[in-house]
Amino acid sequence: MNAIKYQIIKLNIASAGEEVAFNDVTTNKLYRKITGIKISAPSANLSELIFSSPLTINNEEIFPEDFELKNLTTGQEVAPDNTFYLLNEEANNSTVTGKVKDNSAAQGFVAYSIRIYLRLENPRS
Amino acid sequence: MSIHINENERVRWIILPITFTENGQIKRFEKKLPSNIIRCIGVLASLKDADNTNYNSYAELSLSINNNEDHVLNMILSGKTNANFSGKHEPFSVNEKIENGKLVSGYIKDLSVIPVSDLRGWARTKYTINVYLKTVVNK
Repeated sequence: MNAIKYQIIKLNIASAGEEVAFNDVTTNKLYRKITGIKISAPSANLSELIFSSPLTINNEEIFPEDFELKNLTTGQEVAPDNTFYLLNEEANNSTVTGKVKDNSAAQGFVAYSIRIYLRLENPRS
Repeated sequence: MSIHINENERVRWIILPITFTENGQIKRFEKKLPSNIIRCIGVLASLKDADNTNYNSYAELSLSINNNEDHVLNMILSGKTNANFSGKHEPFSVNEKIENGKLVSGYIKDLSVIPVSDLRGWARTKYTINVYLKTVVNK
């Protein structure tokens, strides 16, 4: 088994102002810890995205309502291993829930997708 | 600087949204934090729904805690250091004890010299600066 697994939550935003929920995500049971999270979305839409409902892991709030997703992204000059916001949460079949809202204007909107990357690990100690 | 968090503690983010309607405004804010918050370990600010990258210095933030007894910071919010798409959005590290029931307060002075615009270049007549407090609570 690999030491690290990246679990991806993919959300599709089909129209301006759409709100997308993810409630049925469970983390891989072969990994004990969620050690990081990062967001990937088109740069043109990034500043319009918020968590409209808190992101929770096992009912514990990690990021509150209205938290801007752009705060969980980095520029390309950041080393890949350093792009994750660090967490220390239980993995092992944990439930991840939340809701993302796009606040874009309808004019000129193009459908896009958002990826939430969870980094799962089995720490040695 | 990384702040140590004990096993029986966890991070909780608090967002203070401050809304502006014209250039040059000074807005005061005051908020009572939840009673389970014991420390503030970071401060981050963001120009919401707008393109930060146009602004070298878009606002000045002054933040105090514990009923104005402890002044935590006074900083220029800069698009270059807090840009949407460059670097990492690490909060400014602090390590301040929060006394139960006391207020977090301060002000933000808008410093933008051109109208705030979004990523498409459309001017915003009303916009919000979010102040994020990275706090620690007991589990």
